[in-house]
Amino acid sequence: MKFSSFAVFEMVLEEANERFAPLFQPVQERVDILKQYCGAVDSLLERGDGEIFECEVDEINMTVRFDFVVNDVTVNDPKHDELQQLLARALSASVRAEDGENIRVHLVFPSLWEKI
Amino acid sequence: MTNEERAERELDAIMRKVADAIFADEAGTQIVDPKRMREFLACGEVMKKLFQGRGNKVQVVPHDDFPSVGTIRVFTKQLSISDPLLFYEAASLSSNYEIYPKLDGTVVLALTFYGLTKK
Repeated sequence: MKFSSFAVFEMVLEEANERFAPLFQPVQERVDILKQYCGAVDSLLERGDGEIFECEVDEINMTVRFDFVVNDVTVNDPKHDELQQLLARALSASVRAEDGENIRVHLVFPSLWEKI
Repeated sequence: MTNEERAERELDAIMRKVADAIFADEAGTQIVDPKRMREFLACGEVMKKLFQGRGNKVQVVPHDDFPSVGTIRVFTKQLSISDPLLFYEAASLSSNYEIYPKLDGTVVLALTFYGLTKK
């Protein structure tokens, strides 16, 4: 079965919706945008022989964090590459080595929720 | 000669032809392309702004290996991008870039710029 980061994101989203209700609700447009980002992450995971993807929602500022681990990242089309598109839309990002053989890419995206 | 040895010899011959073609292309009088050089230097300044200090090392090397190729390398324990849009804009100027780990636990960001010079 092909890995889908959106499946992981959906589980986290459901949990977060329950936690933030009844004061906050997710904005569907923002959720749809994150779904597209998941597609980009899947592509990067495939390119970089990655297997680890983690998703988390910050309790306090409700930002969405994506973490994924790959061998390396090579960007041959810096204007259009998936990683570049994700970076252009992230609030912050970081990359560090993991186990000496891989890199962990950490991306933070804006909150999906608005006050009801 | 085994098939493997024959294949290796043919590959070596191809690699030598490619190397000769590259050296021939890079030989002779070259003139700096001012626009491309400005893009390279601007990207270098942005990378220094984003990453210099905090134990990080930023190298901006024009005419690295070949006159027409420049590279910008960032060596760091953690590549923290506080302004991802600025990084995106600067990195978009490069011909390509890669991010890879080293065995000592650090990460290298290497941006390559082609076309710094023309004949």
